[in-house]
Amino acid sequence: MPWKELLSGPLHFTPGHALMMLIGGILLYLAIKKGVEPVLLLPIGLGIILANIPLSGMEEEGGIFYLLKKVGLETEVFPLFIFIGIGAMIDFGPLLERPYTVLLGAAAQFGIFGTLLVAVALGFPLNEAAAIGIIGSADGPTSIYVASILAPEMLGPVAVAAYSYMALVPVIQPPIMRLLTTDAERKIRMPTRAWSVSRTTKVIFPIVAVVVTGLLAPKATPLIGMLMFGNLMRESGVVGRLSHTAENELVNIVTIFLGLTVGSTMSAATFLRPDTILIFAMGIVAFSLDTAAGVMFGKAMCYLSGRRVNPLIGAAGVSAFPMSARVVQKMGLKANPHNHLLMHAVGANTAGQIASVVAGGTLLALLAGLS
Amino acid sequence: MNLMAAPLAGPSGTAPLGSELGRGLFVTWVGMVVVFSVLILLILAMLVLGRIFKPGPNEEQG
Repeated sequence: MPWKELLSGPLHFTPGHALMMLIGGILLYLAIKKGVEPVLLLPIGLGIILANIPLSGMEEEGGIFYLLKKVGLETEVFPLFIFIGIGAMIDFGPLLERPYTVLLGAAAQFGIFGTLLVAVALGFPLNEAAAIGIIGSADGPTSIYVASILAPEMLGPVAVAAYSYMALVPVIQPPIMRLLTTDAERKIRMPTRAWSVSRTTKVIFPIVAVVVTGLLAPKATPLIGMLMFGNLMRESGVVGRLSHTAENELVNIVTIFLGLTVGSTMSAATFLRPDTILIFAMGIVAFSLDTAAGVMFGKAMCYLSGRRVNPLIGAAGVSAFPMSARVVQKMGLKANPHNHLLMHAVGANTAGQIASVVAGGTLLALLAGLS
Repeated sequence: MNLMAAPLAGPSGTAPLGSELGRGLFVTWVGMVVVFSVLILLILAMLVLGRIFKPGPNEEQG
């Protein structure tokens, strides 16, 4: 009977589907009304709603979500394409001009590994714990890339947690920074002048970064390779059109499909599990540990340098670019109106970008070795 | 305990927690060492290159 066909949708609609649609709706609300990471949360939100319409066929073989997942996520090309654009956007000058900031970027990656340990202690197997820990990379494409390899079933919650907490960096970081530093430390002024770096050095940097990182952490090569390819286009100055396309059209197009595809992985059956709540809870743990590790390392550098380093800049070692650098600048100015920490923080921030990629690649290598 | 020989994946609770924690600590320790090593080596290489390729008189100073 034809009416049975018409009613098949409502008949297959469960409370789980309704709840997922509500979650999709909340993400759309956050994106549209509150401006929380709208570029990602809008397509993810609608992707969730579409993925929870029963019998739509979008996730079945030949459907649009099936194809996007197959082509973009299972092959890991979407996050890699986005990395080309990110590389074209980033100026590594502040890092090269302030080389010591590289240590802060490395230290802040403790959030990834510390969260991994917490997840293991909570009973997650090591591969799932690592996929949760990578939320601490504070870098969406790295989180998606690593989670899609180590625990594809966790991709949806990990991606949404990573992007949501990145938007919440101005809320998560300041209390931790205040707690771990004294008023006197926050007032430490840092010089605005830095080493000068030639254009040649900036052009050579992406090539050296690919070779050094690739040789020491080969599994990080796809991520660092695409990141530095984008950066080489930017710094070379000879392919302006390509660089412009990478940081605009390419990133925009891939972001549309990446967001929709990540949303489509969040069906009621895969998302509505107790583990999902734990994943979101541990996302906060990851960002908090990142910040704490960066600030504590900044404190160590402060005392070792004879109080010439303001420990606040350690918080920018989190790779959430450029939000965490802005948070540092704001807190530094609040403590001392003449204290401009921005460029130091941007140095740590860009170091964190590279460090998070290295940490992701190292996780993949270590877990492949342990399996 | 042979960290390399232990099975990796499987539903939660299939491997003794102690061994998973041990492997987690191993991954954490080695992971942080690799991250610091790569970044320090990278910046050392760039410091050397920075000495060789000094900015010209018309290049913007940092």
